[in-house]
Amino acid sequence: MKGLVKGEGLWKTYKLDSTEVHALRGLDITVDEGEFVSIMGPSGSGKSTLLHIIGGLDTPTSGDLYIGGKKISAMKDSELTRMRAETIGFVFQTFNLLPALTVRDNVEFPMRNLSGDKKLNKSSRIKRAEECVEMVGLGPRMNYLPSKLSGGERQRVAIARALVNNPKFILADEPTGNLDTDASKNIINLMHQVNEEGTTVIMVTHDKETTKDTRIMRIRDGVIIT
Amino acid sequence: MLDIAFKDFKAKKGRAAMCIIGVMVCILLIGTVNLVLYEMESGLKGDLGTVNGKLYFEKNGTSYPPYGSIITQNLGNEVLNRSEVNPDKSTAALFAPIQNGNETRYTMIVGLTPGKEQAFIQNTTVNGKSSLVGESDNAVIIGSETAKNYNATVGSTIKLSNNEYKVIGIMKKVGTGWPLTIDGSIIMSLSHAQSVMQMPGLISTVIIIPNGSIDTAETNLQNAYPSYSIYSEHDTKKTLDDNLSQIRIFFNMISVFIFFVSVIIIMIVMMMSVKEKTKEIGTMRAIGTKKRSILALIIYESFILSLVGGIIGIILMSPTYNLLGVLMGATDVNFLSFNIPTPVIIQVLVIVFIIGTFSGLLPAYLATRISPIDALRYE
Repeated sequence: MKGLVKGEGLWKTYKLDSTEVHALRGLDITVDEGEFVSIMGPSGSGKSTLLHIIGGLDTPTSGDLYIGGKKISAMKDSELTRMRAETIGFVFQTFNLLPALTVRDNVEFPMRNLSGDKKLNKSSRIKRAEECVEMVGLGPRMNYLPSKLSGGERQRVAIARALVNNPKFILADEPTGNLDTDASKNIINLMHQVNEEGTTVIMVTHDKETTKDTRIMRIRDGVIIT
Repeated sequence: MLDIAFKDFKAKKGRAAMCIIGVMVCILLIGTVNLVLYEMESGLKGDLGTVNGKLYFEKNGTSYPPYGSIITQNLGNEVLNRSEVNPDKSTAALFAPIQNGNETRYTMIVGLTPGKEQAFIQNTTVNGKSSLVGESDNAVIIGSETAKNYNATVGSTIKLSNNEYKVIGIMKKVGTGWPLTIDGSIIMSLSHAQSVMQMPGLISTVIIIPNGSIDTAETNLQNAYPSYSIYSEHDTKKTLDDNLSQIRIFFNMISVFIFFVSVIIIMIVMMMSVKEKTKEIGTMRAIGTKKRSILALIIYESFILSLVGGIIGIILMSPTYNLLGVLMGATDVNFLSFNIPTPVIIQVLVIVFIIGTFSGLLPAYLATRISPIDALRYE
């Protein structure tokens, strides 16, 4: 199976009252290891649905999805949960940090979800979390709560959290959507840095400025058009 | 997840404080109710201990302590002369509760034949003299509670209903909880008790130490005097148990009601918490947190709320109980002392554990049902 993410004939149909709405219509997608892919498209085109399916948060109505060669469209909820913990790093538009936890604890949190051989003890988890926080340039903010950080800093923490489990790829849903221009540039630079270090990035965005040096996929009416 | 639950708890101080106060009040009420019940039970069981190995011959339909029974001394003497009865150890006795002035508490006058005091006081240690033989008419041996109430020492004089008494002995406290009949008693000669109570020739009971088997003595006496009660320790236990069971049912109903109020308080708070944390829970699920970890997080949080409220409630139980004592007329209350018996603390901690677990179950289950996609869209 070639490609880190490979979707074949993906359909997603929602029922709204008696009407069927097709968010994806037989979509095919392939993302290779090490790529930086930007998915663009108008509202309601199916971007978020595709992202949720690739992220194992939702399942396609029909079609097959493979991640790292494993067919995930037939996985049980518990298997999907494990796959999300070990394989994917999520970056959300609204950061979605846990408000009661410090920067260090937020970044450390996903490592608690690892099981089996990948499970780490507390000191190893904290060491790794601190490395990731340093990497995104927030070492001095290690013990801050998210409420004390700027939007750009919060998104850096979210990126550190996404990277902490060494995922195969990062899924970023409008990561600059809530940031000003300078902060957006910094975040995109950081995403490129992460990508250059070997992590595949799949990003949904509206902002064309952020798609420079990335492979752009345009989606409309549930299919990829370019 | 326990550390995360604790950090969540610290982050939502206002909500946590409201919940803790609610649980604390409930635990305080449950604990105090259980404490009162425990003290009553231990008190009544202690009373039961003081009638072991004896029979009380008294008027039909009365119980222990037998101050409701009145029989003639002649009948008492007849009973004392029977072969089943050990005449050297048994005695006629007059029990009469007496109130001093405007005080709400009662002191139990116990009139006994001098030299037969052991029939009532058994092995209780007495500071001073343990017999009225050779003493003046107004000589008394008093219980520990009576000594405390009248600030009496051996050799001192106490005044009770316009009569003065010389204290020749003070018994050590028998009951571990509430004072028993013996602790609140004032033992004097039978003739003096009859005179003080204006009951010449009358007694309440005959305290019988049998010559042989207690069961045989009870059967023979009951056959000989079918219209009188022969109270044994079994009868006394039954009477005390009957009294206790009513109180127990009432107190347990109160406890159960308060228990459900506590569960509902925490459950509502946890439901609100889950609702508030929908997005956080969705994020956790999205980044790979297992359902059972979410379940544990919510149950831990409800358990922490319950435990903190419970511990504060337990700490406040002692002063609350002392305050109740003051309201009921106690004078020797030390509000700084912590005098809650270990069984009551264990009982309350078990209740706290059950409240914490039960109240977290439904919110925790609902939290695991949150869809990550819906939660991530939730604002």
